[in-house]
Amino acid sequence: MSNSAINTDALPPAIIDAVQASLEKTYAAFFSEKPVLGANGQDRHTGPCIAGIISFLGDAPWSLAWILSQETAPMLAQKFAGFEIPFDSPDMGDVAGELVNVIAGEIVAQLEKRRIKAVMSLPTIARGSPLQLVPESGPSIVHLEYTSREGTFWLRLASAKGRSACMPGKQ
Amino acid sequence: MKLKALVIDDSGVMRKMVMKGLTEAKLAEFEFVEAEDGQIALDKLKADEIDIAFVDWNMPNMTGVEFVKEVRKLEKRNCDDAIPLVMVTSEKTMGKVQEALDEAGADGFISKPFTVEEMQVKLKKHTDKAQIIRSRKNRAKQGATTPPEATGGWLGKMFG
Repeated sequence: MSNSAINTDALPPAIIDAVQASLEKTYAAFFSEKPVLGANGQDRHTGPCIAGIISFLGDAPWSLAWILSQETAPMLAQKFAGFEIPFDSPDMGDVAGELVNVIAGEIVAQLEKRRIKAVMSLPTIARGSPLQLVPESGPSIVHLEYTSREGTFWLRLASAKGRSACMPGKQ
Repeated sequence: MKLKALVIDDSGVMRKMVMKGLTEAKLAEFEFVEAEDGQIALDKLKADEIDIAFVDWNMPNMTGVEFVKEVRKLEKRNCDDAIPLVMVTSEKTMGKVQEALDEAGADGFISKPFTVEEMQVKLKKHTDKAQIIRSRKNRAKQGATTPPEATGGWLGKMFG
């Protein structure tokens, strides 16, 4: 195999596994439910959305966005906080940030079990209609679509270009 | 006895959730003071008689752990009682727990997401300690403001 066949932009599978495990555990703790992962990884959020975004530094620099639609966000926020939070309110930004913050804490713990070091940033919030996070696709981007009683939501994982070769066990 | 609780988190929603959880856990009657980061919390702690603090880890300006270290330093310098400081955080690795408890000097650690039941179990000893310290402070205050003849104790007998 030639070196050109190695995709250094791609996110390591261990990180994707850790994200999926963390999402399921955190979601179950908050909402008493296991969300269902869709079959394909298409980015299909077209209407107004809000996203909580966190970056990770360490063995493999990458970022995570938890994207919630206008329909799903208030449902999750109500269950999460225990009181009603309108989609357009500043408090909804707090909820999006806190949700991604909690899952990020679990991801760091899950990665530690897989011997991958990661330090998380403070969350930032993005809103848009449609929400556009760039790049939208490519070898460095992974989209996970989940469905739950509260509605559909997406996780967007983006690796920092060309750094996955630094992962433990890789040359 | 009412406890003055400082709730420190950069998320307003999370502060509300912590206050709601603490109220529902019924470990004590609380009067809440809120702060958005460690620096603001430090100012509020100096200005107010805080009995217990619930501290987020990741915050701008001054993190929760930096806040805890600073409070312990101040308490040592002023020979004050060490008030219970409880981390309420999404951090959950053993290294982070050790850093908060052993290195910084926090008394407790509760991970988000938390339940009311979890709060009841994990926070009882800390609210109990806060109440003991509050009683001691109240007694000291009373002793300082009550005229000797009214105390009825040995001071009253000596000076009465």
